[in-house]
Amino acid sequence: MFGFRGSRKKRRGQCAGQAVNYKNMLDIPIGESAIIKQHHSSGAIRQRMLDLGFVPGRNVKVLRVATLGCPIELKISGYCVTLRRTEARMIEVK
Amino acid sequence: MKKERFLVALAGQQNAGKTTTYNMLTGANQHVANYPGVTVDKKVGVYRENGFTYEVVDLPGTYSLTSFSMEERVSRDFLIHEEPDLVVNVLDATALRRSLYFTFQVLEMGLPVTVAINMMDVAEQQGIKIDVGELSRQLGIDVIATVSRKRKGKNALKASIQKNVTAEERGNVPQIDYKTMEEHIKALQSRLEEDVKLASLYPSRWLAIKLLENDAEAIRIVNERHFSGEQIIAESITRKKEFEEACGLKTEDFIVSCRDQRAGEIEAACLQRTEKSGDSISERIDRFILYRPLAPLFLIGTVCLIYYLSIIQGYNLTPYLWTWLAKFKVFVADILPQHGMLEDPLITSIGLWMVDSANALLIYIPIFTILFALIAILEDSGYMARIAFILDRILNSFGLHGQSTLPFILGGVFASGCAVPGIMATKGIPDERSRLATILTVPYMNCMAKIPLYTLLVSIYFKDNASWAMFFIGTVTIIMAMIIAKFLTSTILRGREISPFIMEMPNYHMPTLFGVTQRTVERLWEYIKKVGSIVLAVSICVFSLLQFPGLSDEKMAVYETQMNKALVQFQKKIAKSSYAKDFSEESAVLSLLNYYDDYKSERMNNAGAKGAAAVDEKYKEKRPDHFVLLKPKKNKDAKIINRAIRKLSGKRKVLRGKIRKERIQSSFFGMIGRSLEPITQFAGFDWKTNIALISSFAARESSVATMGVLYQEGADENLKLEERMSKETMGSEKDGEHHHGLQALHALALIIFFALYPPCLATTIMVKVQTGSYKWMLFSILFPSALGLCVASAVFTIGTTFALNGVTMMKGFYVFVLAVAILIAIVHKIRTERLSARQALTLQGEKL
Repeated sequence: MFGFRGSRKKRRGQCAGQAVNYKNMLDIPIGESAIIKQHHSSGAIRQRMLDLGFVPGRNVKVLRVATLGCPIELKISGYCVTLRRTEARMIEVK
Repeated sequence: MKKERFLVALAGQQNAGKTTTYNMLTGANQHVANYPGVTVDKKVGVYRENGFTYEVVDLPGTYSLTSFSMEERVSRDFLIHEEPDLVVNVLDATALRRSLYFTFQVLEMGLPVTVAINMMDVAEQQGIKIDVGELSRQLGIDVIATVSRKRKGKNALKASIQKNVTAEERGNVPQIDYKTMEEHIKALQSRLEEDVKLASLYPSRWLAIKLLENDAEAIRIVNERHFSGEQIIAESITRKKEFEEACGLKTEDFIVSCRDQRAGEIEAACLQRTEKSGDSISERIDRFILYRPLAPLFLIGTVCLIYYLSIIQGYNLTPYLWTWLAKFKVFVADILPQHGMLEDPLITSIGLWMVDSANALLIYIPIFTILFALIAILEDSGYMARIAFILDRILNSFGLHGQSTLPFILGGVFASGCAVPGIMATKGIPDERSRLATILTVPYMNCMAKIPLYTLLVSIYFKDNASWAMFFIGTVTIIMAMIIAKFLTSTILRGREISPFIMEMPNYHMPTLFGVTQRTVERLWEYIKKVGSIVLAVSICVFSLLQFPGLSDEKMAVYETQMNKALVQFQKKIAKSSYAKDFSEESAVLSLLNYYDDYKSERMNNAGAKGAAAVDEKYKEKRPDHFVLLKPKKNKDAKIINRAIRKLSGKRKVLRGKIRKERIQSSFFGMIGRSLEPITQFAGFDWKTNIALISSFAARESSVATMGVLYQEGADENLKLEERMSKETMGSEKDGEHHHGLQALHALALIIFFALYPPCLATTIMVKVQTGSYKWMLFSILFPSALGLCVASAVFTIGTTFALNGVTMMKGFYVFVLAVAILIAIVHKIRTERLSARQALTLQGEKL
């Protein structure tokens, strides 16, 4: 289990860690929570996230990652939502 | 006059149980699953109560009423233009806060709303307690608690519908307070109301808010309908800017946050959450089933289990069904007029042909029953969404979407399905490019109509490696489909709109016996209906195309002389016996001949002493005078007849076989099949195969039915087609002559071509419906034909050039296809990494 967490972090370094200059959903380790600060996405993606309750100020927990590292599953106000890494990166958290 | 008919719209978010509520109200029979996005069609149901008629429309499940997706536009247009007498808004009790966003949007549109707060039982399990009365007070509308899966709350909901559709006046529905934005809304509202006509069509407050949200559809409406539309839009843009500068937030975000705040207030007022110790059951199951290293194993296990239960166990059940189907054929044969000496009456031929065609398909019922039940369980339990979660990464590599999983499974990833429901299910895919790619690749799956031909070919030519061959077919089709999907999305579909993979993970539900049975029966019935209609119609066409123009009179005369010779010989042989006078007439001989042949074939179907005795008994009763001749025992004269009739029957069978074959060769189909042989020979297809393939365009099922007729030898003995085809191959191998039968390599080329073959007629029509263009329909026919022929030719030519056998070639092809697929996946990975690096850099750039 811990081994997997480690390897995930490493992969993040290669695949998506091209450090965006804000703390995003991908920086939150599995099992931890964060508070949404703002969205960097636009259009349909942004709308869908807001509809699903990804509202600034809301607490989100990272539940798990799919076997191949993408998508990730998040828990927000009692239900679970899956996102691809590209979308998760667009959520700024604090 | 008092209104007696009311229009009720069912609206709500995905997975809130809208469709089950719809079923509960109207009692209609339809598809329900907790996979996001199943309900997309406009479904209308009717129920009557207390003398009123209620027309209930099930709107697509959407999270919101913006204009970003087709479903949202469909729902919104319906609500605006059809002006329902009441909107029943189904809410998910387990996600109340989020569900309320939708309710606010419907209320903003100025429509009368009743809320059905559904899944109260699940909410209770999660420790959520909702004060329905308080919720109703807060919203200012009726709120009914329901558990639509268990039909709880049906009467209360109906009563509320009745009360609200007839209500003269609506109570005071509190509006959402948009605080500092209110002044802009009010200003725009008054501008909009200047046009009375527009104001009567659309609620002005809603339109004003939408303009501030920069909603494309609202802008279009105002632009087209309002006399000073352009000015208002310009004003809305300046106001939007002004507000955003003052507030520091985008208007869209501000609107959402106001709604969210109000939803939060309502939630706080009427919802009590008792934190249960630990996580929910779904969460605990997922911790295990979606555990990173284990998830693929569970998935593979599920696929294997489905394959084992439906295909292997289902196939074991087919012999039982076969005896019944054979009995059915005998029953039909008994009703129809007797066979002629060499040629049968047309009605008999057509009748038996149709029974054969139908039987060849009905034999697969056990397999489909099990398969459909398992898929229904998968859908209802919620595991289907998990499959999408696990597979999205792979599917995404090939330009598809996690939600392409359901269409592919329905289309037959596992073993057998049907492309028609598969393509219908693509409606749930939000991503236009993936959706088109899925539509165009679902037909490559192993639909249930392809399976008969596969099993047939495998059981003859890959008998020793049957399970490996089936594994090859099962997996190579999906790999090829992936490669084709990648090809399509990176070429002709390149410019299409794409959208994100944002999916709600449904909770696990225990599938109900009723639900699963209902769906299984429904899909099975669809299949049987297809057999009953399209396939039978096609089988008659194929019959005529195979029978006519028929043999020339001269040729027929040749066979008739031969038959007459045999008859004369028969008479000579029996002249001395005491029965001779009974058979002086040809009709008497014919009747005995048919009696003899029928008896033989029926004995063949009833193996074992018990079955044989029953057949004996039946025939004894039918014609005691003839039965003596079948079983002469010590009767010497009867023995003579017995010997003679056996010989005559054999001779007749040979002649009939020759006539039938010659007739097919000279038939219309024979001509087409032959004329295509120069092209198809590279793939190793002879004219018989060509005929079967042509006939299978109308419906794939026909391929086996046609094959069944083309490989006639043994048909009279009620041998299964497998046995007949292998008999023909082996027979000709023994003779060492060049034959028209097939060999393993031929079979492999045929399997590959058939996997890539264009969709059947019904599917192409579905492609037209789902893509909305004849261009794609035509493409879905031409592209696979060309591709299939190329690949099959390549495989066959390479195989023959290097004298490889079917099994080696199968392995080789598999490795090649797999290598291509892996290469694509790797390239995709590298590319996305580069892309995200670039994206991150531009983002940084923007910030700086």
